[in-house]
Amino acid sequence: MKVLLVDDSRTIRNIQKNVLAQLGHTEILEAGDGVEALTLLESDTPDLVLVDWNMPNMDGLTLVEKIRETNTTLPLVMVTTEAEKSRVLEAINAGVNNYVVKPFTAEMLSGKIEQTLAKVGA
Amino acid sequence: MGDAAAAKSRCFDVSVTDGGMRALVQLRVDVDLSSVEQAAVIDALKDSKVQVTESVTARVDELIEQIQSGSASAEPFVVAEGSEPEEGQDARVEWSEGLSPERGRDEDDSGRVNYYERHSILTVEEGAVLGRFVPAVQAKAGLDVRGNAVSSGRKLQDVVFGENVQLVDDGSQAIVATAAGCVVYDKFHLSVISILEIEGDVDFETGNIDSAIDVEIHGGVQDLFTVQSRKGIQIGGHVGASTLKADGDIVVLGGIGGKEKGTVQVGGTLTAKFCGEVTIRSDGDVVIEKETINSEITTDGVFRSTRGAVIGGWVHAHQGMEVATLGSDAGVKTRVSVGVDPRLRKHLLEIEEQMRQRGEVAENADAMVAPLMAAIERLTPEQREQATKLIDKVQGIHDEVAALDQQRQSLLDQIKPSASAVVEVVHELWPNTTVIIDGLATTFRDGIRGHFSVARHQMGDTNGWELIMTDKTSGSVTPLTSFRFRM
Repeated sequence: MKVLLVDDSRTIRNIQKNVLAQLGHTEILEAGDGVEALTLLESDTPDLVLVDWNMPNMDGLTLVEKIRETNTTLPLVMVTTEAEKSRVLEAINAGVNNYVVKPFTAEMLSGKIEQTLAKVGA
Repeated sequence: MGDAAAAKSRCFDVSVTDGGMRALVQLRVDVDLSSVEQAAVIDALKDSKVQVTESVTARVDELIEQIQSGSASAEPFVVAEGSEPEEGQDARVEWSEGLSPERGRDEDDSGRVNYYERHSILTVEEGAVLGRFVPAVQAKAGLDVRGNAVSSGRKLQDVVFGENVQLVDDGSQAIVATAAGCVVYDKFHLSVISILEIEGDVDFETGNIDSAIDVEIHGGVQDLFTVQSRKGIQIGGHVGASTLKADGDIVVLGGIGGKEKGTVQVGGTLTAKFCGEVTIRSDGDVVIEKETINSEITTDGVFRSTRGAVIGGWVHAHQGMEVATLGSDAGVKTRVSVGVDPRLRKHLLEIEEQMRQRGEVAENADAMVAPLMAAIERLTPEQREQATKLIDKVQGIHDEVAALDQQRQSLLDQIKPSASAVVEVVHELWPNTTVIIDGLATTFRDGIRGHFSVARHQMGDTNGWELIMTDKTSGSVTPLTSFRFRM
């Protein structure tokens, strides 16, 4: 399974990569902001996207909205420091399938990924 | 032929040359050619048994035109040509990549030629696809000017499938090895032989050897070369500063002179005439006929040199050893050990210390993270980012401790005392020899002659252990001054 990681922090992306590797997913694409992510999506089709909210050039919420304009089925998980309930609702309304609040443990993130894939698969 | 015809025939000559492949008309130079007619030329050609086809007639017409226009040459005029035969092609093998027996590996990725890997001998596993069989292409006969068939004369070669080779019966023409072995393709005869035999030495001619089958080397192995086999290796000559690796047994009829660079790794038993300055690791027994000098030998089995001497270096045999002589009259420091390998024990202690230290770090890190997680609702976004990174670091430390614990478990499995861990000396033991049994050691300051053994013995009702020497002739037992061996 191919996964796109969108986060301006390389450290966070590495943490996510390690979790994904433990789940057996080693085909990883990376983007540092929403603009980079959209460029990648023009030529590649991941099976799952993990998106940070607060990023330069284009934030995560705008990225989610843009993706959903043309693709309503791609699983999207917001991985973010934004913990307010209103923000969570905002993200869900924009089209994310699941939400993970930082700081997360490896178990939390892997649980949310598996939950998302199970939901979308069903 | 009448006088007039005879007169005309004297104006030209017809000949058939090149083995019947060309018919020529040679005009004579000092005669009147005006009377030469097409019919006469054709008759002469027929007399020479040349097949007069349309194209031959056209060529004759061309000649007559040249004569009549005065442009005829004195050179022979070709009026007919045969067709050459087409050579067939021998049957051949289109080799799978990397499998051609004629290949020699040349440059590596950096462009340098690795002479140790050139001309390496090729071995394959059972079931390997050697290549594709390409059948012979039959020759096509030619035709001479007289209409006779002309063959190339060469007999085509077919590929013969010999031992352990089979052509797959599914139309793919794939050739498969039906047993592991060495691919031999000689004079169109293809086989896979189950023993790799090398007549001379392993050197720049043969390159390194990596074999799936038994290897038999009639010569020796030159310095810096490697011989590996998934089965066994037998070497008739001397092994230099080389690398030998076998999953099975290794037999060296000569000796091994490692020059402090040579290594031997053997899954079965190693047998050699002598060894010097070599590192040997054996899962099975090690049997050395004569001297073992300044070598590091570790065996999970028994070390046996009942007519030989161990001088210098360190020989460890988990299940015990029997030697004629230990040490030398020059007082060379010699160490032998049986039972638990002291070096493994040292490694175990090092790992346990590392686990203790990293475990403390992990505990401290957990203590730092706990309050963060408890106050998670109050963290700012930046603090949450930092907390995520910290949690990951802590997890990394726990993973390190888990990995160290795995290493520790693996070492514990290897560190098993052996009930038969005895050092038996048949003739003589020289001073400055240390004997270590399951971590308990004694160093002999004086020499001892005779047949005796050294073993570990539990002292009375205590849990203490000591080393004792038993004289095999008289049966007398002598306790030895022992100490706990530390690396």
